Amino acid sequence: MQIQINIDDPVPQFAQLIDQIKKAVQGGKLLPGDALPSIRQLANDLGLNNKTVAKAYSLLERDSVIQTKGYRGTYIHPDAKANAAFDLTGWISDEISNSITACRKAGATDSEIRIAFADAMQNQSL
Amino acid sequence: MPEFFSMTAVLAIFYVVFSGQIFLLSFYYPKKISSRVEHILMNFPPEVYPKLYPGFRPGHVETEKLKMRIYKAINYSIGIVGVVILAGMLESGYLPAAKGGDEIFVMLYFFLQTTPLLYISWKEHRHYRRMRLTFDEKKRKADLIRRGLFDFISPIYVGVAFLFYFAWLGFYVNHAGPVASWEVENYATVTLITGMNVFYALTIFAFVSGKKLDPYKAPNDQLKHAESIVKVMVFSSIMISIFLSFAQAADQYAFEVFDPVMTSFYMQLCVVFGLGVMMKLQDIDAIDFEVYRVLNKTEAA
Repeated sequence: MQIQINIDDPVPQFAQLIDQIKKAVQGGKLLPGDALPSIRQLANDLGLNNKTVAKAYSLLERDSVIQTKGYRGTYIHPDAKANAAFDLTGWISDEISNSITACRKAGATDSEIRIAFADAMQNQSL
Repeated sequence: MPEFFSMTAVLAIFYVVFSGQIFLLSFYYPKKISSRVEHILMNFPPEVYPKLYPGFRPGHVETEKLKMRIYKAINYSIGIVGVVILAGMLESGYLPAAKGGDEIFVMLYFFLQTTPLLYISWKEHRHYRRMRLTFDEKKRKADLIRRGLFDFISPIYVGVAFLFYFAWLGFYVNHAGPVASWEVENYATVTLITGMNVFYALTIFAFVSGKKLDPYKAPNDQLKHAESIVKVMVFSSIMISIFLSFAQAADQYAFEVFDPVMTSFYMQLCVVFGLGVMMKLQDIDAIDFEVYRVLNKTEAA
């Protein structure tokens, strides 16, 4: 299984990595339990910064597409196929759209929604 | 010196082994290296394979060929100096010192022999550095397969390297006596050899995890390169342990008269297992040179 990164692509490199790994899982090219290269190995092979690959792995781990087993390395998650199909970005977009629709129905202006959203984000991060 | 060895036998072995050192390091390998470079220059010219020649200027091929001729001439001259030394020893009826110490001359000659090789290695590293600086490939590929040490070398060899290192350490500590009575020289020896093995291990780690000297190298060639580095490092570790154990034994059992033979033999083994393995694993006919070519529009399409 080969992976390809296009440096000129406007899509960030970590996102290209995530996308291709998820597609490989969905297409059955990567199976649960398959070992993935270390962050250092993949970064060296692709000529990327270690942090770029680390970010991609960290987001894939958050989505339970891969799992890290300490010093033994990184593997494809047992439920990777189902989890890879879940589009977190799309889900966030839908959830926020629904909330905005509800706020508008209640008569809130766009400015009030923006301020309320920013406040909510601020409070969550405190 | 053990009684069953006559001085004539010791000398005969030394002359054979030292002749081997002269031949291998000053004639055989320089010729092989030079042929390899000339083969690349002839079959993969800069006009068609520009990525292989960063900073290419007109007349580059002729200059490189001239440099190779000079390289061979220097090596052959060093070889002739060796033959003259050998003839001088035969003529003067040389006898190795019973208490050892003559190996220093073998070592000095070895360093003289390897000086042109070190220069070539330094130039090669500079060449790779220029390649990395000019590397601008937009589409980069990698295999999504984890690589480990044992993908490149049998665990048996790694086990042997550990075993021999600890065997030497045990032998050395046993001979040197209680650690409390050690002198600076003892600490320095143990630190140096341990440090060298740690350096080998770190180099192996870097290459197994994909460190690329040549950014254009095809994935398969990169794997072969890593394999050659791993093997050279592990074999070097084994050989240094064996050599040091022999040197220690020579000291302990009073056969230092063999020191020059052992030193020469060890130096040759280092070159055969280092340069030889590297050249064999990175067979020039199997290297994918297409990665250095610039595709025309039709081919790119």
